[in-house]
Amino acid sequence: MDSLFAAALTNLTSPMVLCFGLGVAAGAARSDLEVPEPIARGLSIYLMLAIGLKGGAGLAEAPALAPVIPALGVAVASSLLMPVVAWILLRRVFGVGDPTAAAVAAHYGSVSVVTFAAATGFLGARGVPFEQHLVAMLALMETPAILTGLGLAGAGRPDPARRRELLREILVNGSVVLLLGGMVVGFLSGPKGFADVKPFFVEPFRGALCLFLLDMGLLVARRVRRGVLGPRLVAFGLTMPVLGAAWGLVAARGLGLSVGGGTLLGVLCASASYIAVPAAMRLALPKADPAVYVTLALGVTFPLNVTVGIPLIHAAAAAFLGAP
Amino acid sequence: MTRARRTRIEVVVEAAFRGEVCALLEAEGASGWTVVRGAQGYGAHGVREEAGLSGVFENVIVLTVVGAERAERILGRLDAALADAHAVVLVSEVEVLRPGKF
Repeated sequence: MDSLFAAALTNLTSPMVLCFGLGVAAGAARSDLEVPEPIARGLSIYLMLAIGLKGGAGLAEAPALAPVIPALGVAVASSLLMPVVAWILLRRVFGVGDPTAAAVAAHYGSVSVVTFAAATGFLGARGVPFEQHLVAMLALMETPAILTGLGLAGAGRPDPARRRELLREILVNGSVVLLLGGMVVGFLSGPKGFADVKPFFVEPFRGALCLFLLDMGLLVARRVRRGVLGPRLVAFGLTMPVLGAAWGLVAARGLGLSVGGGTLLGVLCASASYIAVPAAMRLALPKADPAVYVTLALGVTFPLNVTVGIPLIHAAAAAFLGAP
Repeated sequence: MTRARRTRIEVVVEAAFRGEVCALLEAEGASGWTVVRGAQGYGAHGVREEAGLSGVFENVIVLTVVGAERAERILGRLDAALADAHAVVLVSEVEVLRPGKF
């Protein structure tokens, strides 16, 4: 138990989490500090491409690709089904009505790339290896949840123009393209090709993550100040990640993942989207309240995961998946 | 120097609906439009300024200038298309130089 708290504490004093805290503090104090949007966008492209390339190069070295297929199936199924659990909880336990409940549910079926990046940083700092196809799972969990959200809201078929826009969002969303495309590039160029770009994509990764998390902290502080969430919604935002992480660990055991891989799948299932899904939900379910779904994913679940969630999920993965 | 009267339509709308507004302008045959990103402000939906990568709390301004008849058609369709969006639509009569462009 001591080591569990020690792990949580070390995570809290990592530069990444402290930068996030700095952003939150600056935002709460209404500092004029801001990370210009093009830089934040550039950083997110860098982070996603780096994750994709590294995953693809790692996959090229993997002894067999057979275990990858069921893992990808689990990723899509989790993204499609987790919103159903979230929706039932929201409506039955937390008393949230549609269409906001359906929109929130979609966010919790999808994932947060930055939380994943923070988790890989956490594992990297501790020298814990993980299966590289987790990156493909990350990419495939991004958008299927949007479909479930639409189904839950009974939205029917949106008009053709909006349908095209949504389909584009689901299939060729920027983050999906970067993650999967990066994996293909990494896979085709192999470990040797990857070595060429390693100084740019690997060494500065955690530093770039610090900058990005600083910006996330600022956004979280501003969002929390402006979004009003009742205690029931906050309780949901704290409960759902626990259920998600538990499901992720069970799935990891079924897939035979390592402790590192299990940690990442737990983190993926515990996280909620705040980039791809909000934009899609705004178009698909315009009557759902964005102040609720963005604030919940960004202001409650994201900080929970980045600060204490990742080390706790890692500790749980070590206990549940580690060698007896 | 030729000057002529045209109708200017200015749509201040959340970034998520930008594609839809532009597609509508294209379908109605507007000869061009300008999108100004990062529009900040305050209104019925509170402060609109944070970008936050999803664009959900960000506004854009879509600006077009067309002939009066086309303007009526565009406005009719905009009214329906923006029913669920957070948007303000401003219409004004303007004078333009080089009227062949509109």
